[in-house]
Amino acid sequence: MASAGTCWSCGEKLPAVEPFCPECGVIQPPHAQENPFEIYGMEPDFDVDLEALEPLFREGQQRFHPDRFATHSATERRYSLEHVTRLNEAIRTLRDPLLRAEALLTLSGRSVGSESGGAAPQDPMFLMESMELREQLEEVDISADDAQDRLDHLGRDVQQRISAEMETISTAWKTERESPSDTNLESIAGAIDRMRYHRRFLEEVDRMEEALFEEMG
Amino acid sequence: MAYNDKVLDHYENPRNVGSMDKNESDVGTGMVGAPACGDVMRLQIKVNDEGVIDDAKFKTYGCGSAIASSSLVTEWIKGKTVDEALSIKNKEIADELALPPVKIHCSVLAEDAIKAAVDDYRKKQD
Repeated sequence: MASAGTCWSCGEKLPAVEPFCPECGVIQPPHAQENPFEIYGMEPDFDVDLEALEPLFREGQQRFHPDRFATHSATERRYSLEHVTRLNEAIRTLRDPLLRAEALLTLSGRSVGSESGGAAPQDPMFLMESMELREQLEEVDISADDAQDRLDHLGRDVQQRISAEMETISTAWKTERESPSDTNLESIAGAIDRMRYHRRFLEEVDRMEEALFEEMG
Repeated sequence: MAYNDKVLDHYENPRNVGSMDKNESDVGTGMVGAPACGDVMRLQIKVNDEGVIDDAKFKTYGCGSAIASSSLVTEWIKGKTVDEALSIKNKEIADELALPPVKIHCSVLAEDAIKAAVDDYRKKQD
């Protein structure tokens, strides 16, 4: 194993982030400590331009594709696979608002609130609302004519709640960058928790839509 | 996952499902949730003048273990005093239902629901 900063194959000193050795052109192992944002060359932020990300993703996939290293040494094949895997995992995090927000919390290096789950004390009003939404969903009779409309309506309602939570996270992270404080991270952690309930709700809507589809089929 | 018979029994025939008027002074309502899985649980108790729980109702949106845990505690706390109800520990619930380690949090949720319901009831008595 080469020491960090030198090419594992020819020993040449490497610039900070260089996936290929400029001297011998051999693929280097990915930098393990890079976070998902850095992997795609961006500042950690909740607001991510997903469209701008896609070409970078495809480019990286091509550049490191294991097929291109099929005739290379076992070490090079392994490094290419590590790069591809790392790009895949990073984009999965960046594409998903929930994972993205969690990544920002991890990056802050401070642990707050109940984002780890469990039965931490929570806002009873929020839980009450969640319960009411679940009750409304349960009351939808999938054999009724208006079933699809009602499912759409409830789905949109909860989707809007998710958007509002995303807004909260975005604002809290901006504030955090200007003046770091646990309050910001707690707002993010709280929004993550609420998003989890909303996602669970949307899964249930999907499940009922499938049942509805079967019913019609 | 294969559920144990007691869990299945409570899941298929949940006891005391329903709601009470949360604005009544002798009703305590406990709302708890598990953010990790999005489960929500409501446990309500109706307490008489002697401090005994006359009636209990629950509603849970969650997995079979969460439903069974809350259904079981409604059975257990009926006829108990508020203090006796508070002494119920999640381990007793988990043992009774033979919950596997990954489902222990469901029994914790049920224990927390009892506490939350009693808290709400006591606040109303002040």
